[in-house]
Amino acid sequence: MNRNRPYKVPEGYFEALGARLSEIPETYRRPSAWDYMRPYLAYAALILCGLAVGTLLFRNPAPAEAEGVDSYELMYYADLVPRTDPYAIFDAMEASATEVSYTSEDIVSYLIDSGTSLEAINTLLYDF
Amino acid sequence: MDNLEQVFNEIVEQYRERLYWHIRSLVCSHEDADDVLQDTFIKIWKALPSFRGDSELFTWAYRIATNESLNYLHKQKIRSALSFESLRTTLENRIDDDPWFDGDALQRDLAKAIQGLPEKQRVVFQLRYFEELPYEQISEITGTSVGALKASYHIAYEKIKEKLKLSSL
Repeated sequence: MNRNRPYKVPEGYFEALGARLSEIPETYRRPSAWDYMRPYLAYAALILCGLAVGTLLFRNPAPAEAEGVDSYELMYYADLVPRTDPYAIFDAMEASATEVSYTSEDIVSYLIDSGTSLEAINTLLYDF
Repeated sequence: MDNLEQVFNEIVEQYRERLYWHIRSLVCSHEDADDVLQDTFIKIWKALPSFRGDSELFTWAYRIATNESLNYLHKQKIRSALSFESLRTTLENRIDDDPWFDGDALQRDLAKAIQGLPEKQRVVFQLRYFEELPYEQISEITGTSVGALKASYHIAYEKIKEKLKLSSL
C-alpha cells in the first residue's frame, strides 16, 4: 500500500502559511521586564502616597507654647531662684498665673538673701 | 529581531510542513488542521523561553502538536455527543466531504479505519506508519514506553487489517 498521505492542500498554502506563522511573535509579543514591573511599581507608588498623606494629616505637632523655649532660657530663669529658698520657684510659677506685684521690702529681702552687699543695696535704693 | 524570534522562525521554516501533515492526519480536514497548526505555533512561541533542550526541538514541537490535536478532538467529541453523533462518524463524514482528500477508494477506507482507532493507537499508528519515526522518538513525543508503543502499534495494525478486509468484501 502507498504510504503517502491521501491528502492535498490548496495551491501555495505552505508559502502563505510560513508568512502567517512568522507574524505570531509580533502578535503575541512577550511582555518586557518593564511590563512585568509596572503594576508593582504602581502599587509601591500608591502605598508611598498613602503614607505621605497619612503623615501630613495625622502627625502630632509639638505644642505651640513649647516652641521657642530652649534649654538656655530655662537655665537663665533657674538662676533667678534663690539658693536659700529653692522652693520659691513653685511660688513664682503659681504667682505668674495670678497678677502679683512686688513691694520694695520683697526686693530688699531678695537682695539680702542673694548675698548683695548693703552698700550696693543702698546705692540701688538711692537710684530708685 | 531577538534570538527567540530567530529560533521560532527556524522552527516555522523547518517543521511547518511536517507538523501540518501530522496534525492533518489526526484531525482529517484541512481547515481544522490549519486552525490547530496555528494554535500549535502560538503555544510553541509562548513556551519557547522555557524550552530547556532536554529533548530535541523536533520532538518537543511534535509533542505540542500532538497535544493540541488531541485537545481539539476532545472538544469535537463533546460537540458530537451533544449532537448525538459519534466522533468516529463525524470524522468519517469529514473524510467523505473533504475536498482536499486526494486518495483512491482503498486509501479512503484506510483513513476511515484509522479514525476508528482509539486515540493512543491512532497517534502511534500515524507516527509509525506514515512518518516512520523510530519507537524511541515516538516514546518521547507521547510519553509512553517503547514496549507499550509496540503493543499499541501491533493492535492498531491488526484492527486496520481486519477492517480493510471487511470493507473489501
